[in-house]
Amino acid sequence: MSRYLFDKSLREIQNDILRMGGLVEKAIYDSVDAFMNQDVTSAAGVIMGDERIDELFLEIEDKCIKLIATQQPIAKDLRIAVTGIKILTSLERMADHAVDIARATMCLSGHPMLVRPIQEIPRMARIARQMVKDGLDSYVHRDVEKAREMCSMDDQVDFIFSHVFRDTIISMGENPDVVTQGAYLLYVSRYIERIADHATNIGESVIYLVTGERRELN
Amino acid sequence: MPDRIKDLARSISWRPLASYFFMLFVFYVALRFYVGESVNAWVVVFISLPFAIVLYWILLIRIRGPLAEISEVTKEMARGSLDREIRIYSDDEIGDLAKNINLLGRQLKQTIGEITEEKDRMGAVLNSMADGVVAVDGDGRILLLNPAVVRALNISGESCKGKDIVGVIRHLEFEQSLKIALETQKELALVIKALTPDPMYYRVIFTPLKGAGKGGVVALLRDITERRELDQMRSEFIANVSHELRTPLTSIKGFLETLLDGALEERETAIRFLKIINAETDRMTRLIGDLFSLSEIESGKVVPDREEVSMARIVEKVFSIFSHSAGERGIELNCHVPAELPVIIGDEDMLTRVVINLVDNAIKYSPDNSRITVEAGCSGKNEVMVSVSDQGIGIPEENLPRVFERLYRVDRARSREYGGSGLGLAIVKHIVDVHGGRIEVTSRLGRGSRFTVYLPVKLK
Repeated sequence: MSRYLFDKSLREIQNDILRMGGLVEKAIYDSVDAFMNQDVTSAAGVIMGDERIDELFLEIEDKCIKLIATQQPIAKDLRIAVTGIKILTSLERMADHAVDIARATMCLSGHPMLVRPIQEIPRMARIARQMVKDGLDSYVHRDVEKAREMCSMDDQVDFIFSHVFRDTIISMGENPDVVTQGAYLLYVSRYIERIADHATNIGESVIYLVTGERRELN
Repeated sequence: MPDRIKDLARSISWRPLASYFFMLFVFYVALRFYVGESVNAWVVVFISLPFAIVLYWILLIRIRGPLAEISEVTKEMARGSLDREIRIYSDDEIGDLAKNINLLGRQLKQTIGEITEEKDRMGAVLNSMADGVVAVDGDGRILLLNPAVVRALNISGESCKGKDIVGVIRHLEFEQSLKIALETQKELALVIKALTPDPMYYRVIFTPLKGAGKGGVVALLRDITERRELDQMRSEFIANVSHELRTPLTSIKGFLETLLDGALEERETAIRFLKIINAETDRMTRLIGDLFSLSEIESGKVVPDREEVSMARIVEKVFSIFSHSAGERGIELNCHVPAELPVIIGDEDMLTRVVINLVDNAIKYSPDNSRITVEAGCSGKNEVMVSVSDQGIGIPEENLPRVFERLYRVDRARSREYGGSGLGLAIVKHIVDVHGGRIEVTSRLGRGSRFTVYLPVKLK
């Protein structure tokens, strides 16, 4: 295979990853939206859509492995292929968390959400989603600066998470009726926090891809 | 030094010198041949050389100077600076050449100016367009993307030219449709949802690019969020109206069936049932009447009269209508109207309706033995204010912005029990709007509400 074809297949893999990234972004958006609006149909849609993401994941991963096996790339080319797999794994985990949020929505259907900290969820989800988006953008542009900036947003998510955690526990203590909802809320906020963590992993992969340095940014 | 010699060798200038010299030399040889006198060759050289140099000098000034300048100026033109012009030396071929080059430069400058202006104008139009425009080439790479798209889809639009579409717009449906449009080269439309904090809906139309950039596709994104919301409101309204009409009908039907099943024989029960049926029919009539007048005002079919109206008189009239029914429930109806209230221009019947609806609502939602105050007065220089405040159940803050919507109810069950059609405030709002006024509401849950209408005074 000539260098041209090799570049072409690398670009194809990158586009596939971005395509999957788009689906994952949508899954996160829809799942949080469904959770906030108690929209069971939308939640079911997220759960069904995950199959597609899983298929794509395996397909792209195969492509990466095939590329490594047949082309034996070195240096930056190798880093591109390896980070491709790493980013894919992170994206797939995020999609799983989106499904978890959708499941929580299904379980909670019919119970109005009365726990106060729920108001923080959309804000937290917005930051997490922005992180995923920025992570993928930094991957497209090979933008180390953007990747670093994105990783620093994780602190905000962690901060909100700790608040939600504390407030929910207080609410549950005050009113035993909201324990079920509170427990689900804790799960959901935890999932969003994990999504943000996976986003920082993408950022780290991008930095590794461009500079070859390994940095712990979480 | 060698460079200079090389330049000199390259230059055309030595050639005329040599040829002049040669010419003179031949002339001498010919002379000698004919005259037959012996002249020393060196002498001839010394004599002909100055002539040759003078001739050469003239040629140098006439040709080489202008040529050098032309070459200089054209070089600058090639670099893009079109401001310098060649000074024209002579009226010969070189002069013509210089003139033509000057003309060429001027034309180029004008054309480039026009093209730049056109491009700037197109750029300005694209940048300030509310609709998003994305153009891609046959391979799905971005040719152009305007800021509206960046805003609409919440993407980072920096240096996206030449990038694959997935690298910039990660939206699967969008991309798939784009692919189909690229392959089929046919127009295609779809609705996409943008993942912005408040979900927005866009209608995307893909059109094949014609002319330059053939094989590509241009996508136009139009915001249809509002239209979707309107559609939703309309279908909600229809659902609400059918619900409002069905409720009394169900009960009428129920009582009628019971009557037919034998309740008609028991006179007392039958009368009680018939009274309920009558009340339900009244409610339906009222609802349909309200709907009718609302649609009339909304559609602008009923043009409000433009006569002088005294709000003080209207308030007094309404006061007398309601004082009896309010008194029955022990509600104290207060009325504060200053003696000197400016007249306004409007439709007396409609404005009476406004005050009636507001006072009627206040009575409906007030507990027995409470107080309702109707106040009129001047607000600012050119507005008349009428306010109705009660000590009723109040309206939750989050519902306040919606109370003027048609058939909107804070508490469905309760307000039906009070016999409202759900259209009263919508009618009030429309009447106030057609009179160029405005209405405000403040409320505290459990403490009461206050509706204030401001109407413009007749301008002198």
